[in-house]
Amino acid sequence: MFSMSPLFGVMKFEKEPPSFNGFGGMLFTYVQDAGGFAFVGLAIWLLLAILRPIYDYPTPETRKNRLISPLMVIPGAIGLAAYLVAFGILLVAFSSEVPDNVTDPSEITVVPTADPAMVAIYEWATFIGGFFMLIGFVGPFLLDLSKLRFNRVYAIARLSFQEAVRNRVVWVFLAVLLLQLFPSRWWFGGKAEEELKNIIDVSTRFNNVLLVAVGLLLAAFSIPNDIKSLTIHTIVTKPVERFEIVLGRFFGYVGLITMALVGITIVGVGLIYAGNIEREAKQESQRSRVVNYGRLEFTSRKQGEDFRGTDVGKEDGYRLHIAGGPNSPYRAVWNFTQVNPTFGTKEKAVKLEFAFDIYRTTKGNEGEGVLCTFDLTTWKWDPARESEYKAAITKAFGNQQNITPDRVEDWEKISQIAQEFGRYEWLGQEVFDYHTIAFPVPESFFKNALEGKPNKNESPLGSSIDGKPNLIRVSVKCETPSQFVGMAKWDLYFLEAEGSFIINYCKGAFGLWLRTLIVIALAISISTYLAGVVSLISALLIFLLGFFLDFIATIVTGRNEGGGPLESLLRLVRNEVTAKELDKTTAVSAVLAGDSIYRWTLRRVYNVIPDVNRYGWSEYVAQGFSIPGDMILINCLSAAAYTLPWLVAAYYLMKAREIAA
Amino acid sequence: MAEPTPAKTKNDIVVETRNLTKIYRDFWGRKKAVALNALDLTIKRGEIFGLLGPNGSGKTTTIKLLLGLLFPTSGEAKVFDRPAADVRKNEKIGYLPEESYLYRFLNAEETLDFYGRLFDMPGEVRRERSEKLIKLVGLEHAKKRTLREYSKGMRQRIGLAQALINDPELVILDEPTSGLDPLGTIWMKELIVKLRDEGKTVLMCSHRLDDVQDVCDRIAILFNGDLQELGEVNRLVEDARRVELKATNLQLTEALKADLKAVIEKHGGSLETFGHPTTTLEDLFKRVVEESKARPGRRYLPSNTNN
Repeated sequence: MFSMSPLFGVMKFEKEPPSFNGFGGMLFTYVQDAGGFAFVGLAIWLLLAILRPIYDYPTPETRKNRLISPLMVIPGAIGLAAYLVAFGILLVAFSSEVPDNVTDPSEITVVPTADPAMVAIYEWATFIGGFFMLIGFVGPFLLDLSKLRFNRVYAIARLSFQEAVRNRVVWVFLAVLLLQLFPSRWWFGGKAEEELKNIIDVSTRFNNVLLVAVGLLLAAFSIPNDIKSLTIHTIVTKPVERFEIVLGRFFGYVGLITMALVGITIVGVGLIYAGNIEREAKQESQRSRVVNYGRLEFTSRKQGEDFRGTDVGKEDGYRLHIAGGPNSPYRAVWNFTQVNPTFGTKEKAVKLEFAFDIYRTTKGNEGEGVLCTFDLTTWKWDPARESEYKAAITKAFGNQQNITPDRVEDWEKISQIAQEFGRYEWLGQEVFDYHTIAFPVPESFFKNALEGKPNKNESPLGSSIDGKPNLIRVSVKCETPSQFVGMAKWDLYFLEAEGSFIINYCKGAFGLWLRTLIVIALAISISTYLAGVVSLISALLIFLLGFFLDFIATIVTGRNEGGGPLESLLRLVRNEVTAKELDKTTAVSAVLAGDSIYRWTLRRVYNVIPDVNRYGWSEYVAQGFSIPGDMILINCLSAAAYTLPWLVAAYYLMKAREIAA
Repeated sequence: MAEPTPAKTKNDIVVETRNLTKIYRDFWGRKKAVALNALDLTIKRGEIFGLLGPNGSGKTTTIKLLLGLLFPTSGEAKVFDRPAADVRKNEKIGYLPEESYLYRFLNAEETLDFYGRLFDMPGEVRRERSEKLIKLVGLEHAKKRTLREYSKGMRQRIGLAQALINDPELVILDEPTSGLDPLGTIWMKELIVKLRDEGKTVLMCSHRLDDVQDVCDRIAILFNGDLQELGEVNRLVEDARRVELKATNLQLTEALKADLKAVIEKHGGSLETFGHPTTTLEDLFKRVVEESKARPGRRYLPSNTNN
């Protein structure tokens, strides 16, 4: 019934993939951050409008500055008032040190040294200020959207498309065939089962460079070339809103890239299916696992021991380990707050898949894995019924360690026990280093978990950080003495379903599309003000910085080795190692204050950089995991949230620009 | 040439500038040059108005200010009673730039279709209008060729076609005869007059004074950004100190000359010249080309000339 053949697929996430958890908080922070930028933009716009006004004369005696509207001024004034409140609180009540436990720059806020109510007022004041600044800045843009006409935007988009095609840009995309036409094993060695992974990995990287480079080049030079060659004169002298030019160019190039990507994806999928891919590789990667992840914690049964997993000293500290042995008190525990409702209705079983890291302190027997025990319980499991449960197992199976799922009789018995007690054990599973292994869990076990639901914080299994009760717990113990088993959150999951590889491949391409969309918006927006080459370099720089966003985050949050630039300089001059604590002198305080100003500034720059890594989903495809729909949706929102402010900036830059100057 | 319809109401004013000034500044806001200084101008419906002046006098700046390509430093520019920065006024305007700044990867049909779309024109209207205009500018034979294959004159013709795609009420032409051969120039001038006769208003600027004189009803002469002269061409070029007399069926004889001199002197004047009038080179060229079309073949023989 179940294949027990070891596979190699495992996802590795350095940080939680984006999800809708905490979406409200994200939105709140976004309004605060984007509102700050809107404030700066609005202030610059109003200042320029006052210094260089353009007047309309409704009557010969009256004049009106067409660059300033009440929709800017009134919300701007309200926003400014809110910011003044926040600034006042900041001056009297807070310091701006970054707490130790903050890893995400968006979580950085002021640290209270006074009443927590003041923190709340500060946060809400910056939110309200940001909200009104956004209205003031985006409001005129939204009003002007009503003036846009599809036909005009389409005409310019079509023109951009034709321009690229007739200038033979599309030929560049054929370069992708060079890579796809040859078997990957010609280029890369490695194991047979890694063939498809290599193909997906390399083609994704290549497509990335190809599409981003073409999108960037086209977008960065389009409007500057129009201005340079004066062709824009024949467009803006028609009833064309200037933002229609930006939108037309944007959609034209996005259309071109979309068509190219669709072509490349079709060729890619076609060659994977038509190509002579190794059987092991197909088994490994040509699938799309839909999985349900839990939350991992490490526990010890020793009284009073705070066990958080053992660091065995591997260079990559991604996984933490538990020591093995029959009497080992250490467990790796996955708690599941969500259980797919269809689990309880599946005919026979659900697969629990896992892949662990084995750290051996003794060689062990050649060809043998490390033994692990899996203890699955639902929130209805009552530890007081332990002996009753054991008795039921003994009665059903005697001394037999694991049941054989293929034996209908055995399976029915274990299903009954799992449903009755809310517990299911899988004993003595041999685990190999980084090999994905699966075993079946009876559907009746899930039925037990899904019947009724514990109220918040009422589950005996506890609850997650956001207060959702845990419904299922999987506790893993290593039975082999002197061996360690390493795990991370993403190493164990219930296999909900097998999706379509082709759809998953297309989803991966969609991530690349989002990334290219961002780069095109970025380049076009910048090019409304700067010359082509400067736009290209600026957009490329901002885009490339996106790949180092995690590193920048460590600097912004003060988690990097050696502190900020001034602290690093001080240590360099004094010849001090980074581990040494600095003296508490006035000079050091000045240096640290300087660094905090640097971090504050960098925090603002951080917001301007796109998080391009979040759109790299090829790893899912390569490892054979389905790309979650909610992750796609949240990333679409994220791309829109990043792109829109750039387009609004482009709207203002085009509006303010003297085309013929 | 037909006389322009006189302006009667405010609705007949198509272009109006009041105190229109453009000062170019550097990055720091320091004054670099005054391109246009306090221009007061009114252009009436149905007239051909010419802007004249040497390079840097402010002609093109005026046109760019009217089109919203530049923003005024001070003063006001209104077109069809709308501020120059309002793009809605462009619905009634056709603009032909000095150079034909068009997309060279498009052919004539695609070019006109593109600009028609910018006016949000329905497909059928676009096709119909494009066909008519291509015929009007004489590019039927080359309508499928991309503009990069066009000569400068052909580009100017298709440029004019794009300016007329929306059947505009105001046609703004910046150096319309630039790049055209003499026949093309004549064709362009006739077309400008025809546009006026159809009730359209034409604003043109040109270096070629003969062209302006031939077609314009009124002109403004600019120098260093200042308006120097404004008025009807005939009135401005009229030399009130001289009298011209034309007659036919007369022989140039000394007796005739003496008689005329006596009559002129009797009325207090003096005879300056006496002889046959000369035709313009333009007329000569036009006649030669027309004769050549009618009777192809070589006409010029060295023995026909003195050299």
